[in-house]
Amino acid sequence: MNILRKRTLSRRTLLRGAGSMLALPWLEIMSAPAKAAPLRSVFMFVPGGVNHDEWVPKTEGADYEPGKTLAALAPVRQHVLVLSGINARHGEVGANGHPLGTAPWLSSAPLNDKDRGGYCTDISVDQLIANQVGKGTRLPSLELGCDSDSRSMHETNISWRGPASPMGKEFNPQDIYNRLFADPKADAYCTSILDAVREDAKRLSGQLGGIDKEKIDEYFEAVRSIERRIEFASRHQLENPPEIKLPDGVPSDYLEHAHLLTDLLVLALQTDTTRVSTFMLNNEPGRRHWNEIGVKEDHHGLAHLDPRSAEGRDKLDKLQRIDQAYVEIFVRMLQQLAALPEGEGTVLDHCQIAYGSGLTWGRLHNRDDLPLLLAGGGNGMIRGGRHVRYRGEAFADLHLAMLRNAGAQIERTADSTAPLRGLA
Amino acid sequence: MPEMVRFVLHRQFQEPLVHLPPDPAAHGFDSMAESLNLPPFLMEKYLDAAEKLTAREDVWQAFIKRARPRQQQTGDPAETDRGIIADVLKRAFRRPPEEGEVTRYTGFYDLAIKNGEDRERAMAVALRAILVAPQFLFRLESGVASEEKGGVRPLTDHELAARLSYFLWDTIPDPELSRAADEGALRDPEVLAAQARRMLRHPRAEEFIRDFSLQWLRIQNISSHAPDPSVLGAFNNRLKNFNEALASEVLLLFATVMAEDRSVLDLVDPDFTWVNLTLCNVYGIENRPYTGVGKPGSAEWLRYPITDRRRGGIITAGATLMVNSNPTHTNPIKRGKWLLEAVLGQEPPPPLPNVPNLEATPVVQGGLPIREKLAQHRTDAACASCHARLDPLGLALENYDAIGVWRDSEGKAEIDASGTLKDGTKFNGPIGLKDLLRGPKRNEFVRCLTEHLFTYALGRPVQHYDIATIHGIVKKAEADDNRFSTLITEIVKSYPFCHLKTKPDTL
Repeated sequence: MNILRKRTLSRRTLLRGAGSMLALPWLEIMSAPAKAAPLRSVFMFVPGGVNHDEWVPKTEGADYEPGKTLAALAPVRQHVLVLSGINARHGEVGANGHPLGTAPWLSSAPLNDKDRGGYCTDISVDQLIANQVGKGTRLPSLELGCDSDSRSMHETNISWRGPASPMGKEFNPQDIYNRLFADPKADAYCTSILDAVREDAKRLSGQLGGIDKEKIDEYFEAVRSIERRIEFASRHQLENPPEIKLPDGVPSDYLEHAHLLTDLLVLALQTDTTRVSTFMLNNEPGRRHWNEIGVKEDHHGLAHLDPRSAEGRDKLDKLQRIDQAYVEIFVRMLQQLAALPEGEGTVLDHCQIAYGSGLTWGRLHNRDDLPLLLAGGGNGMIRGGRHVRYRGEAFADLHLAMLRNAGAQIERTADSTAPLRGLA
Repeated sequence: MPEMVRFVLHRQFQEPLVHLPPDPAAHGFDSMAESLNLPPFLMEKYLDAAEKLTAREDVWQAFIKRARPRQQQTGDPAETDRGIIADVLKRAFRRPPEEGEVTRYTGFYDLAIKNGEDRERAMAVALRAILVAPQFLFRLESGVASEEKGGVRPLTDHELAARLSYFLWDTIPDPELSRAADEGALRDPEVLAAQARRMLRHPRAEEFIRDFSLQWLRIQNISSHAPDPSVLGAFNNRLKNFNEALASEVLLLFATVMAEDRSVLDLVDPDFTWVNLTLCNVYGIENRPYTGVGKPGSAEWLRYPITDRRRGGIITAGATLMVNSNPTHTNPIKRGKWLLEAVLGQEPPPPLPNVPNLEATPVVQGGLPIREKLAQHRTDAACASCHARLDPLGLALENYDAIGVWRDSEGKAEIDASGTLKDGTKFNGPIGLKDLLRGPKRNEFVRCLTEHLFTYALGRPVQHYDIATIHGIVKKAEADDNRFSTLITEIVKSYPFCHLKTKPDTL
């Protein structure tokens, strides 16, 4: 009877114990997982809006007919939900569209005075989720990005701890690997150093005002989060860090760089090293020249062409090719996740991955009818393979739905009214 | 951080110890307080760097060899070591450490000794802590609360020294500046100005030239600018040298104006420029100063007298002309916007949403030359409000192609570089523009430069309450032939530079 106390049985034990007397009800015990696989939440960002004409499928439902761009989803079509008709803060248009399409992407924060730049920033949905589930993993959240150009912080961050306080992001593959899998520096001195500098920060915070105080409080929080990581790692030793071949430094080839970062992200999700991640495939406004696919012009310049003009019509096709190149990076990642068995399904079944841009058309700087995809099974809460057309629901409603999926008991965020319906 | 480590430890590293991401920028500069954040992953990198640095035996041996003899020897070796740590604290925190701070950080030394480490290792542990302390990583102005009046207080001597040093050297104060602060002399405006003049003459001011001028002129990313091969022509295979040469010309101009304490108007309209072979080719300088010396792309630079004012100065430099072009053709709107922002100090409002953009439009495609196309664009009242200011400025530079090579015509159409400013002032081409900037518009240029310097120096944007100060600085500079050092010393002596607002701005 002893073996029955174990929740899951190996087939061999069972066969040896029960012999040919095996009856059907036993099989259920055998296949029941010890606990449900954790839900992972990922947010992938592309800059500059899209060629919207080629993005939105003409028809709705499971047999939707994709335009040129989303035809690239074919290999993973059953895992992806195409969402259209969703607006971010309908009716609010800022003068400078590109920061507006980036900084509040995951918070839908209104223009406010909490952020000195006058842009809208507040804690983002990924960080709200990390606050909920992050304590259970080595890394509460992982922020990645491909473009390391020095630019305005409102165009280079989608993940925020709070107003005016970005999470920053990593772009060096080796550094990301170390952060995920190497042991955090935790010799005896490190612990007491952190202790001392934390105390200094606390003391100084009382003496400072204005922006200096904000910076010191941020420092204090950073030290606290490192202490929590070290503490977690000391209780959960990583026995076999996964192996992956990585170059020294950052690859100069964009696609190689993007693929490496997605490989690392897949590894992080697979090993349950983190359950929350953001990935900026590029910063706003997206000034890349896509020579890889024969587009010499920069993406931002192309996005600003007026399609009513002769040149504009000519270049719309190039814009579509860029959109597709980004989607293909996403598809490649989904294929990897779908190939990793976990529990009864795959890792992808236990993910909710939002993909999209903060702008609709780069040229218009508008945020109505945003280009959005939602991939993964969401632990049964998302049913892909469909195009759902909404009627102007707030993007924050999708944030709220993803928050609730992840188990956060949050009533509402920003201008949300209810969790977005129709995902399953 | 690498710069600060260099000054604290007197040691420079060829290879980076850790990869730090670039600092985010705001208001055109990456030194703005508001955009310099410290997310957890960055703090981890600092910890990592401090650990790696102090684990390097060679670094420690060299550091201690230098520090020990300078320290007053007492009978107690541990006392000597604590003295060294206190000295490092003073340099690292850019002010005399408080007693509690000395105890806290020398405590690491004592702890390590107790754990059986040798004296060198014990000192390394203390240094490791100092290198990640908030007082080292942040330039805090915590000052003396009792001096506050109406939400403003004067900076302490040490705070002033740090502001000055980061402005002109981008690092912590050197011993001479620290000494002036120790003696309490820096709050005397004349002492402060004398220190500034001394620092401008020091080789470290190169940091300022590079850091400030590349960002002011928005050419810091020039190395990633890749003109189309059809435009680059003969330079196609030497793009890296090409971009570097273009940027160096501007840096050398700035350095010369600074070193010879010339009028800042020479930044726009000098009587000399610096050229190497690449630039001779770009600028079509026939009378090549190089006869049989150097190879194309050679690093050799010569000072070349300007007889033809189509060349020389920031507005007709290849660097700014190229960066404000598209890869395949010129972009008068970009150039106009740049002139307004960087030279005339009139920030144009951003384009209205839903306004068609001409960017990336090949010039003569559709049969219309750019001038007519832009004119057509301005018949729309919504566009005209801004483009009446942008277009005539940018079009005045149409004689320079997308990499700055002079041309008289484009295709079959002869280039018309005449223009009218919004206030009705008429001018013709780049020389006309230079005449304006030397003459009636010179104060606008000096004010624009002052505002950029001010923003860079203070790490915050110019506010409405600074306007009178800036007006005063421009007046003082004008009275002294707009001399470079006068502009700098007037900024340094100004009220906003020497004071701290202790209450945040209300919006």
